[in-house]
Amino acid sequence: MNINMLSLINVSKTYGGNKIKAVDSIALEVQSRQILGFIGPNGAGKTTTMKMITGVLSPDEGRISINGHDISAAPLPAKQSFGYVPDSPDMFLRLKGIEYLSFMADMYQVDAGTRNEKIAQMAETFEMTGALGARIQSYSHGMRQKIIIMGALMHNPAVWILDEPLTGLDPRSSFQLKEMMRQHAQAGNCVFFSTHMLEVAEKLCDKIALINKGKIIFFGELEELKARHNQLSLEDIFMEVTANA
Amino acid sequence: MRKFGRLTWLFLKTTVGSIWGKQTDSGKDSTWLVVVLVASLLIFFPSMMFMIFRMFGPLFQMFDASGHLNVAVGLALNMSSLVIFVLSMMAAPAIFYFARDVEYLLPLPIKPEIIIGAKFVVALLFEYVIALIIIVPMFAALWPMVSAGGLAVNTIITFLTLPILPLVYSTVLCMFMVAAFKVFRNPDKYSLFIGIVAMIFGIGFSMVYTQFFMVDAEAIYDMLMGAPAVFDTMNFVFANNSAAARALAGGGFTFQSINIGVTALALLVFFVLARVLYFRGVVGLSESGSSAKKMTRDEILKQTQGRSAFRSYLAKEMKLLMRSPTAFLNCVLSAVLVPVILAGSMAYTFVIAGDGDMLGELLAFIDFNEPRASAVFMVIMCALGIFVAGMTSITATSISREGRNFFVMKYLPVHYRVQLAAKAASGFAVIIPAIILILVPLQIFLRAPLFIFLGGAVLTLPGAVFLNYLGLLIDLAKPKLDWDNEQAAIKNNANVLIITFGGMGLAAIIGVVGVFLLRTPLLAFVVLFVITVAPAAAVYRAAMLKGAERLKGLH
Ligand SMILES: Nc1ncnc2c1ncn2[C@@H]1O[C@H](COP(=O)(O)OP(=O)(O)OP(=O)(O)O)[C@@H](O)[C@H]1O
Ligand SMILES: [Mg+2]
Repeated sequence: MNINMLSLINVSKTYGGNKIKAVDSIALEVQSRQILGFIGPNGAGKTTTMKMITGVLSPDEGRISINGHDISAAPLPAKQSFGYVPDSPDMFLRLKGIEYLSFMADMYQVDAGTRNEKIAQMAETFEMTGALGARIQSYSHGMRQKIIIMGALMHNPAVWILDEPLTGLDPRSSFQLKEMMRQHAQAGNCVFFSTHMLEVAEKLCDKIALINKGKIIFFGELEELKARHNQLSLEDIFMEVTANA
Repeated sequence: MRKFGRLTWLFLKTTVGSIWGKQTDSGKDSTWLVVVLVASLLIFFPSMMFMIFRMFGPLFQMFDASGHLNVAVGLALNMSSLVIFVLSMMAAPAIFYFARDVEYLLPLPIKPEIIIGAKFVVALLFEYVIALIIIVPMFAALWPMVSAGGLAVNTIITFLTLPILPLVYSTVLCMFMVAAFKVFRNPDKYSLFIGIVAMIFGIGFSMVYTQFFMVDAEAIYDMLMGAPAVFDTMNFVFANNSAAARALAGGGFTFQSINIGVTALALLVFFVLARVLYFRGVVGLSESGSSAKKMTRDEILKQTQGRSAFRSYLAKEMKLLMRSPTAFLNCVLSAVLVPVILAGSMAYTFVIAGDGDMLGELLAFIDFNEPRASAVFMVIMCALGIFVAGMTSITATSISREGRNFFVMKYLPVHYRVQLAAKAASGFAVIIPAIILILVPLQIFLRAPLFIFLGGAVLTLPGAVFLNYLGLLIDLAKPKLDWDNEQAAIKNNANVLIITFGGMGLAAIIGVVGVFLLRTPLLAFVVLFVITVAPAAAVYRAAMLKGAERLKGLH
């Protein structure tokens, strides 16, 4: 009854000039009703993986499909079915918040009624209503993060791809976003997000993908991981497996 | 002292880096930019140096004959100081304020004098490069005339001291503006202001300069010996120059030590003022002036209606063009102003060169009953479209301006062709009004028959289309995506040089060849139309089809 919404088959990527693979034949899948947490040390390859999923980078080998659409064979429907929050929120600084949101809504062809309702509702959730009239340049780091999240989720995508979405968010906004992720999964969709906050991953995720030096060293349910490591905390497991890998 | 050296090296590297940047995604250095720059410099600078040499040679001779060589040398030095002042007015803020490094340096245990000093040295090194181009030919003209000893030493000292005072003026002025007026703490408003002032100054200066080239040395001699107030003022403002001039003209080291003394004093004053002014301004610099009023839920609900992806993308491109001062000055304003200025200065030259009514005579001479006149009109219109399109460089920077946010283009669910079409349209949105802005006054002036005028107006288009899509193609081939400062993407972009000079060259070739070969309006129209439409269509197709392919591979 759970269907595959995101799948990566043997995906590899080497950056031009480098010898080492930034991402080394990884395979992942996320099904509906699932939240997959992507964790690993700095430089492990999380952002690179997400960029390949979203079509920003093309993989050297392997296949990626989102909601049944292959990202290289059918890029437009594939792109239409995810919402992507990149790792740095410093974009479109010279646009006003509201201008950015309507731009994104136009790009994803969200009709006028839905978009305005959605903007108003998300702005309230993230306490951004007052700031929408100002340029993104004048926003704090967390506010920028929030406006990017709002833009990415505007078209109600089935698949959420969030690269460290919680960094910089205040406790209330962070709580709200986690709540939204849960509800989104419960409604039959899926979330794939990277984070360095292991407690969050522990509480929120149905599955964990642990990446180190471009290779997936664990992919499965958290209980399974703990069972293999004498019920240690995720933090202790992380220290252990990334140290000797 | 070691900190000082380190810091200077760091600033130099980051400044040169932001000018150079990386032109491609390949990770290699920018051989592309180097080749284009060197090629254009090899043509441009030597010819300019030669012009300066030719201008000052006879002038020095004439003044030398009457024993007033130092006056002429003083004039030469003062003009160099003025040029350096104007150029550093644009360069200094980039080094002192818009480089983000100061924010990171302030928390470190470094004395303020060291930061200021290191920045000053970096700015000074750039001014020396300029000085090399404008002063060396003057010295070359001067050397054969002076027989007194110590000329080499005097030359070197003068060269080293000359840029200091103008640089002190411009940095202190810019620090004062930033410290005193809140508006200028907004980097956007500051660069817009400086950009416009510099543009006006540059136009005025180049007009005076061209006038100088046209009048002969004798007239200048008479003018100078009449001791006009302008030269007194210049001698006062650049106080060390008259001493340096006397030293150079054979006056000996007493005068040279006055020059050194005045320069040292200026440096001292600079450090005192900079300590007070600089950090006051630089700390709050990133404050954005945007104090928009708060939106309410109801306002949001009726804010936006849907638009097509193309229209919305175009609107975004236009907003970013208009709101970024660098883009606005170099892509929008340049296209609108430069042709107007060119026409203006041509008319002005006619007026001052002739007895005043040469322009009138010329106009009376143009008789549209002559097929030749109508043919020339067609040729000029065709060249005009190309020229104006070359002045915008909107499409030539349309990928580069995305910078590190380029990846957004790749994850939006909008076909690359639509995105490229919107970028091309943003070019036309400036080119077409700019052409109309020239066509209308020209028609009022010349009163060409209607169908000749319409034919000419049609001919502006294919050239504009050609250059606009060519810009897009070139930027797609070698975008400059890795930059911190937008100036690197727009001002120091080899693609812009290619399109601007390419446009000028092409317009000139079509103008000259066309005027000679095409003698009737019908012939001119048909030939020009055919030879421009085919390449325009080819470039359009290439940009749309190959462009989309290219975007896929670019990251
Ligand atoms: N543009 C690039 N050019 C060359 N190498 C790169 C580039 N971007 C990333 N890399 C390399 O690829 C590897 C993976 O980087 P990536 O950004 O995917 O890591 P990450 O897991 O997202 O790290 P972090 O937790 O710090 O965000 C690193 O070794 C990095 O040095
Ligand atoms: Mg990352």
